[in-house]
Amino acid sequence: MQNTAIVAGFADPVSDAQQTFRKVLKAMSEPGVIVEAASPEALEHLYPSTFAVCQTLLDQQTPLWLSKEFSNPKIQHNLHFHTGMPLARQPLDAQFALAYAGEIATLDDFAKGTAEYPERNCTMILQVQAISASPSTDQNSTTLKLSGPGIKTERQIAIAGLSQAVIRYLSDRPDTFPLGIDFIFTAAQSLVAIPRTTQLEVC
Amino acid sequence: MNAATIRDGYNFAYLDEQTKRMIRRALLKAIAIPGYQVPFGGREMPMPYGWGTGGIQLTAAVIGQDDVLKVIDQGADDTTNAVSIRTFFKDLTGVKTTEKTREATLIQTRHRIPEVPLQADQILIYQVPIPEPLRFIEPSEVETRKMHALEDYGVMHVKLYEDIARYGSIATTYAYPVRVNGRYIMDPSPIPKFDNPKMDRIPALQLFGAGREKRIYAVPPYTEVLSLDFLDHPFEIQRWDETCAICGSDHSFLDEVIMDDQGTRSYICSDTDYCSQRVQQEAVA
Ligand SMILES: [Zn+2]
Repeated sequence: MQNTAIVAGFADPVSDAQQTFRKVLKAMSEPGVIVEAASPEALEHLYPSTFAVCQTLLDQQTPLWLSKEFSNPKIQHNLHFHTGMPLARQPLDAQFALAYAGEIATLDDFAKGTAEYPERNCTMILQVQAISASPSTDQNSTTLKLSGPGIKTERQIAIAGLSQAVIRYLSDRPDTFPLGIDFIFTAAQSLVAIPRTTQLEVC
Repeated sequence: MNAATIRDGYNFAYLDEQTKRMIRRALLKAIAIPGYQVPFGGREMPMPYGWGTGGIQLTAAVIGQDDVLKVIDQGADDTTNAVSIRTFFKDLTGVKTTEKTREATLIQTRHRIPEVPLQADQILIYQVPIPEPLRFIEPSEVETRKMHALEDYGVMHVKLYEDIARYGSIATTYAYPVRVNGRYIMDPSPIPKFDNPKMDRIPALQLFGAGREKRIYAVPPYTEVLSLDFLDHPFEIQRWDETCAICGSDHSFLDEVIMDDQGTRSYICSDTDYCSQRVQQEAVA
């Protein structure tokens, strides 16, 4: 068996998980607000921010689906070592999914919750190239105008690296509330969340 | 970490990390589905139900070293319940506590919303005894869950309208039901309906924890919270002819108190911090 190196996780697991959670809590309750979050080290191409979110939210009770880009022994082994999370065999079994936002060709296969248990959906943790609070001229970047709960009037953000499927899902909202998928988009050291309540317009 | 102030042998904020994670995940779902009650696997706390174990578990899952905690019970910081919860967190986290609404980052409350408007980045954590607003109409959990799923809220309107037919107005004055973001009907916990308008589109985050029934729900900032009413009987808050006997306020929620053995009645602010701030300002002026 190959020897897989362990990458250092949170320096102070109790305090670092609490602080990261508060960042995610703010992001989820104020969609479009960019917050800082990072584990001390990246785990290969898994960003410090993504790694921090994983250590904060995942454990033995949360099956995780990994996309092709993140399905390698080192990432799997380290995530399991630091969180104990099991791998989801199918997207439908996943409570959390981890991928590059550009990799997602469809969101049809992930759980959207049920009318009686709308919380039984998948939360997508998607890595992107960049997130900024101001419109970007980068042609890989999409400027989004957000409104809904958590937003006083409207809020603009630009995200680089979204696939057409993700943009379409967010702007069309094919699942009627309260069903749907919640998104956490991560850049290297920061993140932004877009829950199912957010109305979104591509600018 | 300020280890010296934290009780030996306990995890930060009492709860184990596994339980905190479970509550944290439920909180994120509750925020994504405003007004919907998310079930969670709560654990036993070292105090009895009725002491706000639901609120305490939420506070324990959220609180960190940089927080400043305020705990109120019916508006007061100095009741046995408020003092014991504040002491519990002081001992098990070492965080700063305050009685001033403006200084607090976390406010755990039983049955009131502070009079001072809450700000962005403040979190109000409500202790909830009975989370299901439809429970007194429909005792079955299976049925109430269906009613929420189908947005089948006719019975709630019928109940309120029966009040109007019987009493000439809606008799409910506490735990007055609200509709969140135009979708879920929610129990705001037993706050006076006087406080209901303070929930609507505010900059602060509102979290609700029911310990016995193990439910969490939430209202994100800037989210519509409307009290149920009828065109011909619009929602109204309580008003008093009296003013506060201590600070003279004519616009805060007043408690009736008996002043002496002769049964002389008087009215004072239920929000003790608000009342004393007003007295201090008066003294300065
Ligand atoms: Zn007063």
